[in-house]
Formats: sequence, C-alpha cells, structure tokens
Amino acid sequence: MKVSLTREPLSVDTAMASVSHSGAGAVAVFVGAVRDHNEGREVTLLEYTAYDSMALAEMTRIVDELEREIDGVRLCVQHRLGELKIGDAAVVCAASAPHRDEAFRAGRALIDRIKERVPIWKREKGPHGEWWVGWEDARCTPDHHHHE
Amino acid sequence: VTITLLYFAAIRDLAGRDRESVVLPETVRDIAALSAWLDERESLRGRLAQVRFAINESFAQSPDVLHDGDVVALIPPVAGGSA
Repeated sequence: MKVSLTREPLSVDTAMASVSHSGAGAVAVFVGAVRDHNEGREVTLLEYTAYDSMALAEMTRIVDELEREIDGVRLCVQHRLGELKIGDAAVVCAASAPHRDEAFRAGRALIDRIKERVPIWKREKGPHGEWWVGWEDARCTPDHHHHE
Repeated sequence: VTITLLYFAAIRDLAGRDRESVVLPETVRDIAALSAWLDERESLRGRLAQVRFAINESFAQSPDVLHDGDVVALIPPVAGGSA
C-alpha cells in the first residue's frame, strides 16, 4: 500500500518492502518521531488527528506527483494517528530509486510536502497544558474553552 | 446553494462543533465570500487568516465557486512544523 493512516505502531520493514524491487539500488527511509520538547516546552504526549479521507487523498496526490517528477522512484508513506508517546514513530516515508540521489531527493520532497499539505494536526500535551501545534493564538484546553 | 462545512482541530474547538449544513446567501458564491461570511460569526471572527479551505477533499483557491452539495472543510495550520 502506497499510503496509509493507522492507529497501530508503524513498520519500517513494511514501508521498505512496499518500495523495494529488483531495479532499486537505493532505498531511503525517513522516520518522524515524537520528541520530548517543542519550542522550549516539555512534551509528554502528542495526539494526532486527521481529516482522514482528505489526508489519504492528499498523500496519494503527493506520491503520484513525485513519482511523475523524479524518474524511477517508488514511494510509500505511513502516518500514525491517536495518542503517541516520546520516541514513537509518527510518520514513516520510504523512497526507492535506481540510485541514491533520486531516492534521497524523493524522500526529502515527500516528507516536506506531507508536512505542508496533509490535513493532520498535533495536539501537544505537557506539564504546561495542552494546545494545537502550529497555531499559537488558538490554544484550547481539553474542555474546549478558548484562551486569549 | 446548500453545503456541508467540516471543522477540524483548533477551528473545531472555536466553532464548538465538527460539522454543519448551511444554506448560503445568494451573495456567497465562492471561497473568498464564504470566508468573509464565516468571519462575521463571533466564534470565528479574526480567526480565518491562516485557515485554508478544501472543497470535496482538495485544497481550494479564493475564486473557486461553490456548488450545491459541496463538502467544504476549514483546515487550520497542519502539523508541519520546523524542518
């Protein structure tokens, strides 16, 4: 499967297997993991939510356009949803190509476009409270109360 | 024209709901007009500058025209973050 959204742990092996073939001399894998800090704040949990159907459609569009743009590449993306702990893999991208230059370039472009365009949101939770990542003026508490 | 609006993440919290069906006034024909119309609501006022719109699961541009039955999503800034 080229793109997937799941609440289960991701598998680098599965992502690699889905792009590997006898003509692929290079496979580049990127893993995006949950880290313990963001913008100076301690983070203990990250909750990922998505507009599921559009996220799948947009990831598919990104994979298709990159496979057209860069000769001979095959791509795979797995994105996880739900509550993730520090160190958990949130996203796995795999790119195969005949040679490493195309594999690295395609993998880099893949994760960059995913982060810009795929409707998936992070809700950060730590000792200082919780908020939606990326929109500092719209911090919302768990009871949906809005703070200025 | 009747459309379905979908709200996500911080916008869902602000709107206090995750979806609604709305009948658009005749003057609201495209995404730009829809954004201005929604900005008149107290819950969303001044909050839409960074919000992107999608029509039927594809990102839309300001001049894109709305049709009966469209599903229009308000997409606040996505997880993205620093490279």
